[in-house]
Amino acid sequence: MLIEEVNYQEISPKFNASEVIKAKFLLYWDSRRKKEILSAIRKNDQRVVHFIKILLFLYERKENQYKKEMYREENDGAPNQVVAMKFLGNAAIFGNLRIYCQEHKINGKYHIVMSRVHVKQGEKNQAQERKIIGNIAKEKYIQDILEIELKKRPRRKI
Amino acid sequence: MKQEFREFISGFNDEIVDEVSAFGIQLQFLEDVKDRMRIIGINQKELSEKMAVHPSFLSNVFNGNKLLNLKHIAKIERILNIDISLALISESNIIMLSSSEVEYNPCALEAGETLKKQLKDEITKLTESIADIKKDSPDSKPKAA
Repeated sequence: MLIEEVNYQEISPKFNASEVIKAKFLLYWDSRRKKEILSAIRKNDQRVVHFIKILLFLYERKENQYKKEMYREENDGAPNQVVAMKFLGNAAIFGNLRIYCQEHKINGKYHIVMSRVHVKQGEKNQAQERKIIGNIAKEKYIQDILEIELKKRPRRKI
Repeated sequence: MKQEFREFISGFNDEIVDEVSAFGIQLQFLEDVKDRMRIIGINQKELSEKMAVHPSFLSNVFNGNKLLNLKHIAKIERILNIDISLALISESNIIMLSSSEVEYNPCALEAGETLKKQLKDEITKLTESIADIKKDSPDSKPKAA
């Protein structure tokens, strides 16, 4: 299994272990890059607060709504399920950080896999970013998402 | 910000909860402002010039790092030629910003849509449960010859 569901308390123990947020969307991380993702978000308090704002946007978002400054689709016109959580603002705090994700909508609910951390360095690295985005698009997370969902279903007694 | 989300982040200090809450209030308002900017053909830089604020301030507002005050909102109202008011949604105790250019109350509409979706989901679940019960009931099983 490449992914696991995010335990918000690993990001900060101040998050309540509430299931309520999961009613709106489910967040996962790529297990191979979990440490990297955690360390990027927890680098300072402002990043954690910004991450909470992204969660609030995702919690309240309308159908197919994106916010280009914070959570946007990353494609060249052709759907590829890749989106980016953006940490824009003071470079010393946010470091122009992106968390590239793969997003799937299953039965009306969004399933978002945080896949890779990337620090955007001006316009010159666009080719490199396109390569990263292309690689994320190829990840077969959907199979793991469906498997995790299947395991959650109550088993019928025989 | 909905109570459920507030509960989810209630372990953080009040200052952070308030900052996130303020961001939430501003979030939908800014989307409406962006729509209006598109309609009248004004970009972020032009808006910042007309508001007499630094373009980076407005960038930070749209990035979610800075908050508008009521004076900024009054300037937006004047420049974009819209009527903005603070409204209290009594049922959920949410204070929202609304604009007269919007012919519907987006918050109420969203609440209605959410309720409709919840009811639809409940009906689907109940229908599935009934189907399961029927399937498992002895009457539905083929009788041995």
